[in-house]
Amino acid sequence: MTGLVQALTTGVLVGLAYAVLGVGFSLTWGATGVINAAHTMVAVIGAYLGYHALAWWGIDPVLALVGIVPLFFLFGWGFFEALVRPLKQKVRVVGLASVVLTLGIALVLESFTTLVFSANPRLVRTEYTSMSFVLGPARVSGGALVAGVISLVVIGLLYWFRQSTYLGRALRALEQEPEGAALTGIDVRRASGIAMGMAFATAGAAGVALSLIYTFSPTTFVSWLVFTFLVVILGGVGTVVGVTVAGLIAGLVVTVSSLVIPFAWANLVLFGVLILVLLVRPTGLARR
Amino acid sequence: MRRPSNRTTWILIAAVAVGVALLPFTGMSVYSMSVAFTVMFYAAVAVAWNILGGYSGYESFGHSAFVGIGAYTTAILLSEFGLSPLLTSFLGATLAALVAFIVGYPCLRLRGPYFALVTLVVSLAVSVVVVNLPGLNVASGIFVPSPAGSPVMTRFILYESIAAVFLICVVVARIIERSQLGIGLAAIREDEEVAATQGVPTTRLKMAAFVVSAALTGLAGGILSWSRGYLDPGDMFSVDTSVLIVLLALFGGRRSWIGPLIGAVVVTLGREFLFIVIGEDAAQILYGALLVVVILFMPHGLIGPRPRLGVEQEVAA
Repeated sequence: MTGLVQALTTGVLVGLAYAVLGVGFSLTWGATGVINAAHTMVAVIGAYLGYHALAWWGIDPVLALVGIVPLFFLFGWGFFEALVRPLKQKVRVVGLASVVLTLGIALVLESFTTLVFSANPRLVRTEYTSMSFVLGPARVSGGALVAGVISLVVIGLLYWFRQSTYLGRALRALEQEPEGAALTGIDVRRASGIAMGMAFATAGAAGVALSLIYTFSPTTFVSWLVFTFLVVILGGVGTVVGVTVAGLIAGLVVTVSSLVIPFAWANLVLFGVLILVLLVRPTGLARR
Repeated sequence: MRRPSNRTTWILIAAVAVGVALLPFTGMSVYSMSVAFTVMFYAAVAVAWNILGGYSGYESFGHSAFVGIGAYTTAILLSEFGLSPLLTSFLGATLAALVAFIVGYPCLRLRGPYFALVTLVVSLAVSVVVVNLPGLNVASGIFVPSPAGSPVMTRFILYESIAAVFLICVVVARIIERSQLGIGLAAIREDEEVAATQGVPTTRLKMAAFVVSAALTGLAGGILSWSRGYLDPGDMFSVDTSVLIVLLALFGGRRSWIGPLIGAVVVTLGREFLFIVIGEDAAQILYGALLVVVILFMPHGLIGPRPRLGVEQEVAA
């Protein structure tokens, strides 16, 4: 029983972390059609900046988000203008081309990160990451709790933004029908750039959140990417709620199934769930 | 544009095949034979990948799964029972085809990026299964005996084996290209719904292409493991391999077998060269930048078709 509660708690926290990576990824996929394989590499860089803010200047990684988030927003917008827009002008359907483009960027960034920060795995250590909290029968590390809070805040803000602001609604319109959105007077170029900027900003925050739970190194982006893909495909493109639910499902499937089977096989259960879902609903869980 | 006639192409393929097979007799060094091995391995898998990814447009990002299946089949049978990969690689190809057949049905229902991402996930699932399967002892690594005692002989055998696989891939790809299957796949690539309404059995053709592509990739993987003294788990299944295969085909152009072939030769040789000249990290950066340049400035590859009027030039944001 205690084991199960523990697994459920961990599953929720891990799931939230996947979800926060997923919402940004899904946002740009929906609004611009770009499948950004560099998304989790951006998160890894966010994790490194948070780590080094602490290691070099003693600034808490969570506090460093004040700098990381706006900085990454600008990077994202710049990325859209410099690379995505030229691509969109060249190719009819941007999806697969963007996978290749962003994989290339991810590889470049990975090598740069290795050169600058070395390939050694890092783990953020602060006062609260070493603390342990008792929640009923379960124990949670302070790092995981803080990560969970960051994730919830980011997901909540993004949801609010998409539902309640003009720009957010414009992005949703863009997801449904780009040409129609343009005809209603939405500045597609600007909205897409902002969407990319926001995705990068959430990736930075996600990276910092994940760095409080897991060790990371430049190559970590691949495994994070796999989970992000999985969560977004499961949840559906352009839906914050769907992706969040999918993230929670993914987290819970892994932690609960590893109670009964070896950990290595737990991911396989997750892949199985994904394939089953796709057999029934080829566009993911969300209703579109 | 006039296409080269059927006969011309076959004569060309035969001539190149004979040339490639005889090349080691001109006194190639061990090093150049091993470079040639890498080039031909990648050319073989890129041509094989293209049977699905290029002809039908279903771009798999999980072909390392089939490389891995082929590789481990021959490696295990060689190290445990001493069976030659020249025979067992065909078993590896069969196994790869079988796996493709099983995962093909759910995967091929998905389109474009969904298909790409799911094949990536499937390849990871396959690697989890193979590495953790009890009784195979893959996780602790496998030592693979080399084909012959002397390095020259070893490299020579490997060279000729991969050359044979490479030739098989080219011949199969070329046959499919001009067959009814190839025409059906092209119809699927252009517009799957229209193809289906015209009576093209889309599911069957996609499955056929996927299975053949997987089998050929498995075959090449079977020979690849023979060239490694030691198989590190995860090495054979790496996502990098899957991505590289896609890049080679994209770089060369996907409409015909010759595109991936040229892409593989240029990129593999280029990488080898860069590794030596500027070191691994810098080479990786250039390699990533190459992906970006290729996709931005020549989205149809080195020898891709010119965009036809009106079709490829719809407006985007």
